[in-house]
Amino acid sequence: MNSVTTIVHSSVGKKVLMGVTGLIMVGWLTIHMAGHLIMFSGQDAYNNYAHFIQSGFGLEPALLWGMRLFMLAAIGGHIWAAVALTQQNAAARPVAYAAGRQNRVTTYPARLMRIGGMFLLLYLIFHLAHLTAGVLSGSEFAMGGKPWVKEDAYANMIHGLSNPVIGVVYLLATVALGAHLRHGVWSAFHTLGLSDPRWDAIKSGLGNLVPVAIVGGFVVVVLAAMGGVFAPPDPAWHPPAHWLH
Amino acid sequence: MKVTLKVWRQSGPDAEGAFETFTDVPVDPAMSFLEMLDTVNVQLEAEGKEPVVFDHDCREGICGACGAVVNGLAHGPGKRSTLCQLHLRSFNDGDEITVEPWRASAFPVVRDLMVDRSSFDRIIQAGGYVSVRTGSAPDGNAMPIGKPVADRAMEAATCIGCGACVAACPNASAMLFTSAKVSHLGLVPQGQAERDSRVLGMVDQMDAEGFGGCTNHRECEAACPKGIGVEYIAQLNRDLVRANLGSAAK
Repeated sequence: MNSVTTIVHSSVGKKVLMGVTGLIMVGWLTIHMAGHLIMFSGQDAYNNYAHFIQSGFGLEPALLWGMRLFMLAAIGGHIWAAVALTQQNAAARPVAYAAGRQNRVTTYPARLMRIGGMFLLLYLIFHLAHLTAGVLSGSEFAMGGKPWVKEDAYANMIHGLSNPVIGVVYLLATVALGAHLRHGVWSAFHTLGLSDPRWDAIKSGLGNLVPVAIVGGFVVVVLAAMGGVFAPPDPAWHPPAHWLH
Repeated sequence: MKVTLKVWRQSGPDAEGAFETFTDVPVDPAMSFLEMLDTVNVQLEAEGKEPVVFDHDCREGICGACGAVVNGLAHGPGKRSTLCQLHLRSFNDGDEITVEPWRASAFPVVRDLMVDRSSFDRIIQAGGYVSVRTGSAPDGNAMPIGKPVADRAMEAATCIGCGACVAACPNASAMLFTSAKVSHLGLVPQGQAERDSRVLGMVDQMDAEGFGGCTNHRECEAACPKGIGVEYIAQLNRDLVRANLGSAAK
């Protein structure tokens, strides 16, 4: 009792981990969304941006893997805390109410956090396989029959979203993300202790603004790709020679 | 008016329980919910049967003894109400009303609608106090406390420990109770000396009792007869992080 390690083993500590890892992912998503808006600047600009990331932010290729491992740790911590807390919560009420516990105020985003989180994990695996690893290269269904080319992220995105079914999957995932963030961002600030009434405006402001901005940015890009707003990729596009070594 | 009651009956902590149905119970809209249970018990006793066991004391909404889940709602459908302050005028003639005890592994059923809430007492014993020298009372206003801080501490201190927050929580979490008890002392000067050990000890005990964790549904706040807000949960979270960082630095 009263130990330094309370934060590690307590339910509150797991929630702090949940909040911190969640906010790390929100930060990452904000950059990811902003980067996607470069699609509107055309093939050269977007591929330059993709190369900047692929080359380790123009510094050191190992940095890309550092970033990936850091995000993987955040996702792993988030899931571990979610599973541990869900088990604790289930054990805390072994006998359910016969009349069914009635909710007075809770919201659908809050009630769908677990199932939505699992859906987002499945989507993440698909998304990484689809556009980051290119395992569906050449697939008629998932890539419009075009090859996945690492350096041509612009073409990958347009070919990858050429099938409306894939596009709808991306849109659904974006909506699920918005719902997850709608409850998650406010909750993270709350868990991390922003209790003073002075912080209320910031808590609810960011809690609403962050999901709207992130979802809005992604939806615009996906719809633009599906609706043919982006110029068709130039099949003759080649990465500059200095990228390839 | 008449109502049909489905009441949870359980003869002991380890006994198997079941609902008992009382049909066409004659009630008056001005009756409180507990008075209705009293009339049922008068009838049961007249028939030589065991009365329905339920906790109650002040019957004016200030003691925290009573409580049951009525049609899935802790303390029933009233707003900021205890069970004793719920009246039959909140129901309609012919309604079927399901009455069950608080459901949480940390609140084992003693009998019928009565649960053992001594887990709350053990959370208090783990730090929900201030150690002071006894003797004559200190001078009033000897220790100036700003009005906004005093008000926030007082709002937390209105917790009557009824357990509705746990009963209403999807996770049977005791975070609202624990955070109110941590905050009403932690916000004022008298509570500073033990502020860190208090939050560490109480959170440890809360988890050890088998309560769930908070997922910010705010059902506790909506069910609380005193309207205590979830901002105290954020306060507890902050205090816990601060206490851990503080002990780590020492």
